[in-house]
Amino acid sequence: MKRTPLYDCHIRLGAQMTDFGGFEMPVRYSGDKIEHMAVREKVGLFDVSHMGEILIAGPRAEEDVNHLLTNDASKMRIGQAFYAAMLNHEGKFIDDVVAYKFSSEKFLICVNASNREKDFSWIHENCNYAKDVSDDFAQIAVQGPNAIHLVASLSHKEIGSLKRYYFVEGKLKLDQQSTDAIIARTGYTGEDGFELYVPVEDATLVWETLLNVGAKWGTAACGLAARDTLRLEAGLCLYGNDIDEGTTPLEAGLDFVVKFHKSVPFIGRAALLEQKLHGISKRLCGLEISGKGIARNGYTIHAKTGEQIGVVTSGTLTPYLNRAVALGYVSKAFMSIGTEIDVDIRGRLIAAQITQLPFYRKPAKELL
Amino acid sequence: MTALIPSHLRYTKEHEWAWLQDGNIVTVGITHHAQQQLGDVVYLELPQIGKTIEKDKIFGTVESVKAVSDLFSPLAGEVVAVNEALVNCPEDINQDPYEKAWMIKICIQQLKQLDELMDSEAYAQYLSECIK
Repeated sequence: MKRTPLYDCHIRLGAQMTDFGGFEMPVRYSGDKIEHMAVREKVGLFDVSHMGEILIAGPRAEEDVNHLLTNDASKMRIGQAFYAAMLNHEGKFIDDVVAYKFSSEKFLICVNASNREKDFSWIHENCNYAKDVSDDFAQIAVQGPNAIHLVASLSHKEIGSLKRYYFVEGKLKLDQQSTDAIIARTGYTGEDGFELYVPVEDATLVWETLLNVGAKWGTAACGLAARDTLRLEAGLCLYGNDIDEGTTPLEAGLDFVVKFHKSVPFIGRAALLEQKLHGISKRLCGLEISGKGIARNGYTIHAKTGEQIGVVTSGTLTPYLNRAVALGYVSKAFMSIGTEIDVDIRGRLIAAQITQLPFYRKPAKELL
Repeated sequence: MTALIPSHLRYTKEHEWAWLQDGNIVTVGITHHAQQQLGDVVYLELPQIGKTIEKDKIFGTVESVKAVSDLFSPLAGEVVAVNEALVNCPEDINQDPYEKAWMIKICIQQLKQLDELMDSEAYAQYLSECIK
């Protein structure tokens, strides 16, 4: 199993480790709820160095990105990051990614750890120049309302005015030195926050500096368990659970990242357009369980008549909202908000309802 | 490690503990390791008093934010007590798995069955192999 550059830090902190996407990753340090709440109320640090980074560069980089991803790279500004789907010819997910536009000739694509090899070979086949630069970076996510104070205190550049989904190439002040960093106002928790891409050799010092300097803002190291409950509470998809090579972005409710009209069409456009014209037969919906129990991946969803109408893809008891919620694909006829349904929780039908996504949304004035 | 694996208890491979107290009454719960693997526990389901349960068969379920896990009975017998307070406050499983978070008491027929369970040393050895 692979280890991230921060492996020793996790062991020193007494983290419980688990296999995730081929990496030995921290699942929790103190406790899932404590870590979840730290991110909602203060600030949490996540080692996300397992994520892959693929560079697309050259004079035709922007066209290549437009060809590979569903979002419109030409509409993005330099210094802007954007979420997108990368689809196969059937319009189904190879991966969901965040792309960073450094110029029209240089993009960095952040991909899921478990998809890194698959993504690279797909990107390589379908563009002019691509390089897997995953091993050059450690990535640390700093998430929560106090993230701005912590990251600003270390950044040479002013970052308070950095808008959400924008990034800068800057430096972070560490003890006696400084390190280069891509500072992006992005995240996967539903909170304000940053993702820091730093050189592998400085990763430990960055992590420890963030923890030490961050103590006064209530900084907590957070594991994958909290990352999962945070993203789910925020209604964000997880590749492998909620989206995969069997689903399309229209079914996943990700229409907003699919741009049918751009200078270079994306792979999978024809199939998606066809689906758009005919209409989808199922869609990813939010569910709230009103009875006792938690709906888990693979549990079946039923109409009140008993007929199966869908399948749960992710579920938990959300620590902040303290509600049992889930994501699942539900047949078209049952997907309107408020529809009463049942979930088969280990042989028992438990009452649930189709509910608005996201389950948790930070009030707009608190997010830039 | 000894505080995490009390020496007066017997253990199963499924990470339950059993404690023979008076006569043939055995108290059952899950180990420190089990609660640690689960993370924050949110639900617990236990059998009714009077139910007959079989060795190595499911007697309940414990559910955390992260996962759901079946509870396996270390021994065969009749359930004579259920920790109802724990059902209402399952987070005690994380706080105090060996005392406050006892789950059920079973009246067992054959005391010999206890010998088939691991003692604390054997369980510690088993855990170190699991973690590897």
